[in-house]
Formats: sequence, C-alpha cells, structure tokens
Amino acid sequence: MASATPTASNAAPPARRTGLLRRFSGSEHAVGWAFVTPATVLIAVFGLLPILWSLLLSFQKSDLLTPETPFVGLDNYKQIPGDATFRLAIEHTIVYTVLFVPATMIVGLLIAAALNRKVRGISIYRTAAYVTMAVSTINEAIIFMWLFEPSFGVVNAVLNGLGLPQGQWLSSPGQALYVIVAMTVWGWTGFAVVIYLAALQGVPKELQEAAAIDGAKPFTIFRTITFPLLSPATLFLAVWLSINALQLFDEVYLTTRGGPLHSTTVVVYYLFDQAFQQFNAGYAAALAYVLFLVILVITFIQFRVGNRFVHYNR
Amino acid sequence: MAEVEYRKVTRRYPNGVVALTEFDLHVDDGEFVILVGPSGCGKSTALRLLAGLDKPTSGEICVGGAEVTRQGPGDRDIAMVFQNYALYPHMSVYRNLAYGLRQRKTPKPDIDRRVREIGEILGIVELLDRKPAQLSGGQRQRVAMGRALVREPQAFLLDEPLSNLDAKLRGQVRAELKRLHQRLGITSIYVTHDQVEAMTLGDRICVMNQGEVQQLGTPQDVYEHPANVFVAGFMGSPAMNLVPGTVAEGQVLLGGHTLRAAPAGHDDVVVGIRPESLRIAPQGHPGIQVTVDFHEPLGSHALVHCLVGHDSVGVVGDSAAGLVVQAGPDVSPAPGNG
Repeated sequence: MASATPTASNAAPPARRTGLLRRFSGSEHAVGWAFVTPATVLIAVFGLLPILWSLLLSFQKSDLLTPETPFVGLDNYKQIPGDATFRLAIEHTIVYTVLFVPATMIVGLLIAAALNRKVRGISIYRTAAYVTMAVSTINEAIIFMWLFEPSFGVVNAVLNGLGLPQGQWLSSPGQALYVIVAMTVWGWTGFAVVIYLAALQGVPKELQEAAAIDGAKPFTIFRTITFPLLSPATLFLAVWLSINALQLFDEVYLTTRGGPLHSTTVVVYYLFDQAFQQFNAGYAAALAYVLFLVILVITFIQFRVGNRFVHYNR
Repeated sequence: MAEVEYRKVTRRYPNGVVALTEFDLHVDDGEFVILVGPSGCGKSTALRLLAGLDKPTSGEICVGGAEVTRQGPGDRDIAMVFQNYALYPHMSVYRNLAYGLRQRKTPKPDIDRRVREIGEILGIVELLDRKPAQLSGGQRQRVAMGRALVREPQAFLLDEPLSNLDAKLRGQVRAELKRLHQRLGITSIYVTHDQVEAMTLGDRICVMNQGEVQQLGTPQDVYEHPANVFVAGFMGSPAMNLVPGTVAEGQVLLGGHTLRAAPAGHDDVVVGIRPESLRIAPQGHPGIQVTVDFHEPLGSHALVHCLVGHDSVGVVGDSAAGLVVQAGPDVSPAPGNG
C-alpha cells in the first residue's frame, strides 16, 4: 500500500500533483489499469465505437462517401417492412438456421458419442474431428466449391457412378442454400463434437451402470440418463449455433454472393450488400439493429424455454 | 432371493494386473456376506463381476443356481447400491425408485404401490417429489437403498455404501441396514474396508488381499482365530500387535522376554496379541517392563503405545505414565505365516 508523504498537504500545487501521481502510480489501481487498458482500448475502438456509430448511422442517410449525412429519423426503419428482398433474406436465414443448428448438433453428438470410448489411437480420431474448426472459411469454401462443381466435382461423379441424377448445386437456385448448409455443418461439427465430448466425459459412469443394472438397454440409457445430463451443453450449442447461423455471411460471400437469383441472400449478406455495394449505409445500419434485436429476443427465448429442460449436475 | 456362487473366478486386465485370482465363494440364500480388505484387494471387482458390470477372464458366476457369467447386468435380477449412490440427478426420488420397474414393464399401479411401500419402509415418503440435490447424505443413502430394494431382486449388492456419511450417520445407517436385512432377508453382499462394518453387519466375512481370499468365516471366528498374519493384522480395532519372536526350548523369546506357550515345528514365529488382551499392571507386579512411546486417549480408555525392545506394542489401558505392562492370562502366541 502506498502511503502519503507528510509534506504533501503543505506543498505547492505542482508538488501535490506529483505526489498524487506518485501515489496513483504505486497503487494497485494503476497496476490493474495497466493490464486492462490495451484490451479496453481495443474493445472500445473496434467494438463499442462501431456499435454506437452504426446506431447513429441508422438514423441518417449515408452513402459512406459524401460527407453529408442528413438525419432522417426513423425513415430507415420504416423502410424495412416493405423491402421484399429483405423478407426473402429473412426467409433464407430462417431455413438455414432451422437446418444448420439441429444438423450440427445431431452430427456432433453422434461423433462425440462414438469418440467417447477408450480405443487405440482415440486422440488421433478426436483431433481429426476437431480439425474442421481449424480450417479457415476460405479453404472450406474452396473445398466445397470443388466438391460440388457441376461438371467436374466429386459429388456429381459419385452420383453419376451410382446412376443417380446429378445436381447443379451452387449454381441452382433450389440447391445452393442446402450446399451452404452442408458446408457450414461440416465446418462447425468439430466445435459441437468438442463441446459434447467434454460434456459426455462429465457424466458419471456409475449412473449409466446403475441404469444398466436397473435393466435399461444401451439406447434407453443414452436417451433417459446420458442425454438429459448433456442438456447444459445442448442449450449452449443451440444458443451459440443459432447466433452464428443468424449471422451467416462468409460462406455466402465466398461461394454464391447471394445468388443465384437471390436464393442464398441471407440477412447479413443483404446488409453487406446494402452498405458496401448499394451504398445505403444508413439503411444497412438499421437492418443491423433489427437483426441485433431479433438475435437478442431469440436468445432470450432459448434460455427461458431451455432452462426448463436443462439439468445442471450438482 | 437366491444363493450366489463364484466358481474359480479370475479377472485379469489387459495391462496384466490380476484383480481376482480363482475366487471361490458361496453365499447362501438370505445370507449377509461381507467382502473386506484393503484398497486394491479385489473386493469391488468381485462385486462388479457379480453385477455384470465387468466380465471375468475365467470362471463362472451363478445366481439362484443358474449361470449368469455372460449375461448383461439387466438380465441378472440383481440390485446394487453404489458408493456415491449414483442417483439419477435429473429425476425425482419417485422416478429414481420407479426407473428399474419401468424398464421391466411393470404396470403403473404396481409401480406406484411398490414405490410407496418401499418409501414407507425406508421413511422417505415425504421426499418422493424432491430431486437428489435437495436431499441430505443420509436421505440419498436411503433412496439408493430404496431403488435397489424396490425391484425385490434376487441379490442385493452394496459397494461401500456408508463411506460418504459422517461417523454418527454411519452408525445409524449401519443399524438400519442390519434391521432391514433381518426384516427382508435378501441375499446381500457388502463390500467395505471398514472392519467395524464387517464385524457388525455380516453373517460371514470374507477377508481378501491381493485378489485372493484370506479367510472366510463368522465375524467371531475371523476375529478370534485369524487364518494368517494378514487377517490378524487387518481385523480388529485397535489392530493386533504382531511381534516377531524366536522359539527356543519350547518357549517363545520375545524382545528379551520369554512367553510360556510355544508352537511345535517353527523356529521363527510372529506373536499376535490383541491390545485388549494386555493390561497395565501397577509398579512392582510381575510382567514385562516397557517404555511408553505415546498414548491416544479414546474417552472410555486409552491406547498406550509401548516399546518392547525395538517393537511397538499397543495396550488398551487407562493411564499413560510409569507403566508396567503385563501379559494377560488369555495371551496365546500363534505361529505366523509371514
């Protein structure tokens, strides 16, 4: 603890300031601030500032180029309900979320259950399952564009070999969104595997043994004992993946750019399109705030509903 | 209810560790047998093999005369109480009790009747709607026993069920267990490393060490006639004094002192004397002169640790200073196997 010097109170103002400075620089507060300042500055500049600026922007008309940004009140927000493309983007985002979130969780759970055992080389399999998370989105997109390339892609080659009809995939308005679902499920499965695997390892073995002695078969044990005890992980994944699904952008930007015929235009891609291609930055900011509120409400509902079914093992 | 039998059961793990070697045990219908021994002696392995949670490397296990060695745990009609109770945390007490009956497709009215019956017997009726997290240790213990008993199994297995309770509660639950067994008469196999539980609960005790049976007998038999040095040292609290001695001219030489009785056919022996078979004699009385090392006051008496030569000997007494320890009339030096 720093202590005040006896002469500090009688000294001239500059000397008092020096004393205060010395006292502050030697205190725990100063050390604490020294540690948190870099992170605080980064968060403020790249997080807080854009949030506040975009809120201001949503009440302005701005093309990001001209310095005039007239205040338009709620005009940007009033424009949203009548925007047919935005409604389409919402529809695509909902379809994507409804498919992506459960699919990722189910595939993740099945792989985690398969990996939750003691077999030779298990760490290699576990690493392999997680490696999809380490692959960058651009690589993921390139791999899937190759796989689903209509003329030379592996998927069509396999379908051809099996005598099944081939698809146009990312070039087809009816199929492109589903290819993006497959791509992102593949990309996020590793994350779901890790979360579920950790949760599975937290389920006491005695509970499964007790259920086996009680006469339950393996699938019943999984359904009635193991799965309910994974509920915190399930809720976490449902919330986390939903937030990510509603913010889908990278994969769409890298593969289809919202096409063909707007069939993969999702909310965040549309927002990007409005801001940086149509230069309606004010309108895009308003869309961003609507999306933010939607995510907030959905997450709140997920927690409220989910907590009824979640059991935190105590 | 049924008799249980292990026939030359061996369990060897893939890493080469042998947990159980040619284990033979016959438990009569309605009998309460205790498997007791130090950690790693194979007692829990024996119980898990009987429950079907593990498979033996060789040998057979029979329940009610039928071989069950390759049957799954659910097909053996056996119930088990785990050390940490293993109650299903997301289910109410009622659903915990009913789970096994539901798996066996018992009609709902029967489930309800049996759950409430067992609830009455164990005094947990008012807890039926609670979750395990809302119960005390003793209550969880009773629910775990209820879950095992509600199915009316052929045999009842208990794996150190009292070890998570405090000393006072342990005594109470021990008495309840004894009463419950007398009332229901279910064939029970109970694993513990606590010899007080072994002595008080069992019709017979099976003392185990390093995967082998050391002695099988009634508690009194095991206590009074230990089969070997391990059993002698393991059973009894405070532990039996085991002092190396030499036989010469029909007498046992013990740390410079001579004892009357001597077994034939041995040169070196281990003399076992229970601390309560020794008493502290006043100065001047005949006996063995010892040095008091330290003493442990235990309320009604004290355990006095004395040095006889280089050997430490415990004596149950009521004083700790200026002691002369005299061998009691019931001291009977026994030949040691060690």
